[in-house]
Amino acid sequence: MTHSLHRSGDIESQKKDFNWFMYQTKGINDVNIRDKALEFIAAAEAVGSENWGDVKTGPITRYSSEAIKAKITDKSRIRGVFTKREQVRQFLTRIKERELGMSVVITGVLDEVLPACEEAGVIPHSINYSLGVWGKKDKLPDETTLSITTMCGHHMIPPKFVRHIMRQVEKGRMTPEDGAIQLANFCYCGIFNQVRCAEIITAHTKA
Amino acid sequence: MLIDPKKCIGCGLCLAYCPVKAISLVRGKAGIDPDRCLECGNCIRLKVVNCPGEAIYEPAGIYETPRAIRRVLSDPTTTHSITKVPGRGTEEVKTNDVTGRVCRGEVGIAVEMGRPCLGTSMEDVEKVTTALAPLGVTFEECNPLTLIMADRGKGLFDPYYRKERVASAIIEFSAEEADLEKILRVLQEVAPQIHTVFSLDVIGCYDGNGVLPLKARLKALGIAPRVNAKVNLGLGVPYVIEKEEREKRRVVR
Repeated sequence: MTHSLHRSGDIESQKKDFNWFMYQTKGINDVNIRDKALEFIAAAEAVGSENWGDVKTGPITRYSSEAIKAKITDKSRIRGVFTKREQVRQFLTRIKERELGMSVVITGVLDEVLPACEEAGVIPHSINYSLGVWGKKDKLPDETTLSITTMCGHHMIPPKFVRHIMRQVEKGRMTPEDGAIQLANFCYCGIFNQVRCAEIITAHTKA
Repeated sequence: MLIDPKKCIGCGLCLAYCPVKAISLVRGKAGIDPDRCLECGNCIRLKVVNCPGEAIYEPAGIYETPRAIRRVLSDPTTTHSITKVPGRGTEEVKTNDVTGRVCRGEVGIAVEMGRPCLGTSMEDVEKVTTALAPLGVTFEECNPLTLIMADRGKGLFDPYYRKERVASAIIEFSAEEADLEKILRVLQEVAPQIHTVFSLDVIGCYDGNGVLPLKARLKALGIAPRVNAKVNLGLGVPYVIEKEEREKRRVVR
């Protein structure tokens, strides 16, 4: 649940971070979803979705688009990443036209998401707000590390590995982009924004 | 997870891949602290970690032990053999246009224990559920946590699972929008008593005129939500929420 909701970090950076999701509901619209899933993927690829995947297979940073598509079943969960509001608008416009009947969710900075919805002629149904983190916050990693680890809401990215990648980049052993791909590979779903991650690594290392 | 000391070559590659620092090198061999390990499976994932000695493995029979709950609430690809629920919670707002899990006039609450990064003990989860239970909340039926409760009225878990730790556990329920203030007050009181963190979510529906009443409610309470949010676009079919329709029929009768 809510694994894209609690992304953190600099607001300008988050404005370049959107997640798209297609959802089927058990017992209602979860049979023979393959063609619809392919329509979603086609719409996302057409506007240049930077990452996407199926939690049952993995993201395109690890598997080819064809391999993921070939394994789509009724249990699949299709989702991905955009980095521009215009991509969201174009994606929603196409999905709305198709009338596929699947639930669609967009996560991102509301000042960007809601205008994109309006421009696409889509009226939101409900919203899930984050009221932040409560409890022993002093135990958390630093803000920069969190801005990367929270892009995988399932908590699969170890903070220690983020620091390892940062060190490798600083030593010139890998590029920020290659480091971002290594981090993206931890995320099963394909909602990790490796483009934003590379920018964060660049901004916070002396590469 | 376990590491076969005969196969481990002591390279230390796996250490950085554990989200909770459960792996350490002792006398040239990697070992896993069973209390810290969440059974998330990161260390055995293909194309992520490539242990040169193929020394890391999942012990047989784990699903027949209390550690099964670690697996299901830590590895997003698993489904619990008892609960049959995949993932750590429900689809909450993601399919709310179809399920009507949260209808107009209601709020959906999710207390995501252990997120981000820290993980949580089931004892800490129980501190929060037992604090919320006296409010009369009905914990979400389709959430795996609810299914392992021994006493839902008191928010108590089956003692079989009480000593376990998980990557995250999502306490989930719906309530009348008017009850939001007292729910938040209870969470404010219990937050300092736990040894971890939780991320807090609240779900609300737009009315028929494109207005989100939850926004005004939060403002009145002096609470500013984060700038980013998850938006259900109402493109699912059936759009008309059956639960709301049932309620209308009940009122007419």
